[in-house]
Amino acid sequence: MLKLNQANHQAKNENILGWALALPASFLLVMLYLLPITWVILMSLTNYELGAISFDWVGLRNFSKALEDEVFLRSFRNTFLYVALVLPSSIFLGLGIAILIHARKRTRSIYEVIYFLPVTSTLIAMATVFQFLLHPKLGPVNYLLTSIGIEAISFISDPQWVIPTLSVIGLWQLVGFNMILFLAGLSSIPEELYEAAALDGANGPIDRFIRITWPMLGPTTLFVMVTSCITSFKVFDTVATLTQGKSGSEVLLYALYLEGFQYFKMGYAAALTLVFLFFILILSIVQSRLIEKKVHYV
Amino acid sequence: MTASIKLHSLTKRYGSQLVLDNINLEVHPGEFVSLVGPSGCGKSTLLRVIAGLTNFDAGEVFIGDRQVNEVPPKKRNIAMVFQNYALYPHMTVAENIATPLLMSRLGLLQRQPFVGALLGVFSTQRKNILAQIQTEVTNLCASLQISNLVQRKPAQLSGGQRQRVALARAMVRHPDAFLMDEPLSNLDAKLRIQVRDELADLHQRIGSTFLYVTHDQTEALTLSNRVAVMNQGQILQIGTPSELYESPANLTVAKFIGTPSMNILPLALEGAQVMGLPLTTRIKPDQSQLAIKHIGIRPEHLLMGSSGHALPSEIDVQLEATVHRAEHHGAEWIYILKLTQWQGTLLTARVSAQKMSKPLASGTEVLVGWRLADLHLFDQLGSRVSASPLLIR
Repeated sequence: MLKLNQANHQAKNENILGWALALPASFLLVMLYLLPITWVILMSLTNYELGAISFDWVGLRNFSKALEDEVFLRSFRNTFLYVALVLPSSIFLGLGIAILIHARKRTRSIYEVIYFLPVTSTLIAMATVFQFLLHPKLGPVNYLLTSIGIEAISFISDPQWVIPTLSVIGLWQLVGFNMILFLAGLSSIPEELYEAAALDGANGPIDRFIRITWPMLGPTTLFVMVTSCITSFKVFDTVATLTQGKSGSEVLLYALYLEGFQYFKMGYAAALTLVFLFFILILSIVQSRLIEKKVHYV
Repeated sequence: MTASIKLHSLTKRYGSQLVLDNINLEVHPGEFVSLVGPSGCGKSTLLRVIAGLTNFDAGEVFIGDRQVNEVPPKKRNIAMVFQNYALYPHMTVAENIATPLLMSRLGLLQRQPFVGALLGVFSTQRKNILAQIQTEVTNLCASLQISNLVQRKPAQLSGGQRQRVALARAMVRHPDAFLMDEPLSNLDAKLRIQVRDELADLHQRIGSTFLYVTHDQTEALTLSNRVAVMNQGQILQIGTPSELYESPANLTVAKFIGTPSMNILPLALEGAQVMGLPLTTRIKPDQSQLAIKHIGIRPEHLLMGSSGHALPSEIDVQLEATVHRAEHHGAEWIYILKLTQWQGTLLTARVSAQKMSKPLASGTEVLVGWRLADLHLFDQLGSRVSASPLLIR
């Protein structure tokens, strides 16, 4: 009986010790992640405006307002169009460039640096370059177009062209990053597989790609897909610098920024933030689920 | 169907280093030939040259009567089993084995996913070919006893099973010859022996030409009709296992073939004396004694007797020694002996356990001897000197 008590006592002590040791990490977790999120959730239920003395609880009215908000709905459509344009092109272009560069021996590192440059350069600085390049009257792109007889296009101010144009810039920035990921994936494919394939008769470029390269890149492709999706979903800087949301070019993050930091409608901005976070959450869940699902090979 | 492999003055360099140095080799149809040698000797490179996976600088490769220098790997109709098996990790066992057949029997578009299936809607021919491939794969798997594995992926297989799948993929299109690059080196010791026996059976059953690369001389000696010993890009000797064992052409082969390896003793001539050995008197004076630089004696040719009792009279050389170390190897004992003379040189002796009344402890004084006829003699260049005419009794 005494022994049992002792064991009980010991277990209790260990329990307390365990909680004590977990406390600092739990504290940080709550302060850094849970509390801010809770704060945003609470705020989304109010009509709080920055600097206002009082606010009212408005329930889900912010969310229903978003569904009728012309600007928000447009930013929603724009963002999805942007993702739909950037995602496939950045994956396939990244893969294509990676395959081409992978075959290079001496010049490989030079190409790697060149394609990776846009990733490291700040877009705010590069925006001036793009503004010049795409300028309807002064830009060399339009000069080229008019010289072959095509009418000049206002890439940045024409509502029809603005999202595709921003997509191309997003692609320009993303493709180098995807290429590096694909290069790493390509390097991890054992050379022996290609040799076995050569003996088995699969040594043309099409067979090599379809039988070996593409399936072996499965895990990499999945990773690239999800990260590119999240990156392009978060598009903000090109809009902020090049269009400031003019010509109907608002995207989710920019609409959110306008409401929160230009119009100071913090309650509404918090609701939009939650909508945005919801999509990111779904993407993250898809990512972790698929990666768990053993797409990689031993 | 089963073809010979001929190599004619094959040379390959990496930069200034000669990887393959004027290799000449003929593997007869249906023969099992092993390339054996220490790592880096060029044996794997040679195999890859034959497969067409590596280019070379000079010489000719023949498969059958066809010169294949410029022929791409798939058209050489040979199969290769890789050291790591190189199974396609994303395909099931059945798909792995079917791949060579898909590649050779279906057109470029027909064999692609989606497009092929789409084309298949319009033709029954594709369906027939696929059914035929399916049957062949099923039969082959049954004969190799891997039918229960066909739906698994390589990652779900054990080493031995992967090895068998790799063999099946090699066998499925009935190649003219099999090239094997250390196929057993990734298996554990027990499984290695089992699969080795299976390979021997397989070779007997299908009677195809096998060229087998290994660094393990036991594998080479037990499996092969003939063994080629390679070192530093050259074939040092090619012959039947017993030829290699009984009359190694040079010092390197002598040291390499046989476990424990042959005792090699340098003969530093000091005047007429050979380091105190009564050897000089027995070598004909008119032969160029100076040419002999090393003598070799196999461990099993060393005879041991207890100190004080002379060995039988047909043992020409008798020396005093002490047991330095004794190793029990089941059916036999390996003794490391330290000679009293000759600056305490170590010799390895192998004695059948049955012949010993009781094992000798280390430190025991013994007599060790050998017959001159069992000696292997090597000259300055390490080449074998024919022993018998040199020796007189």
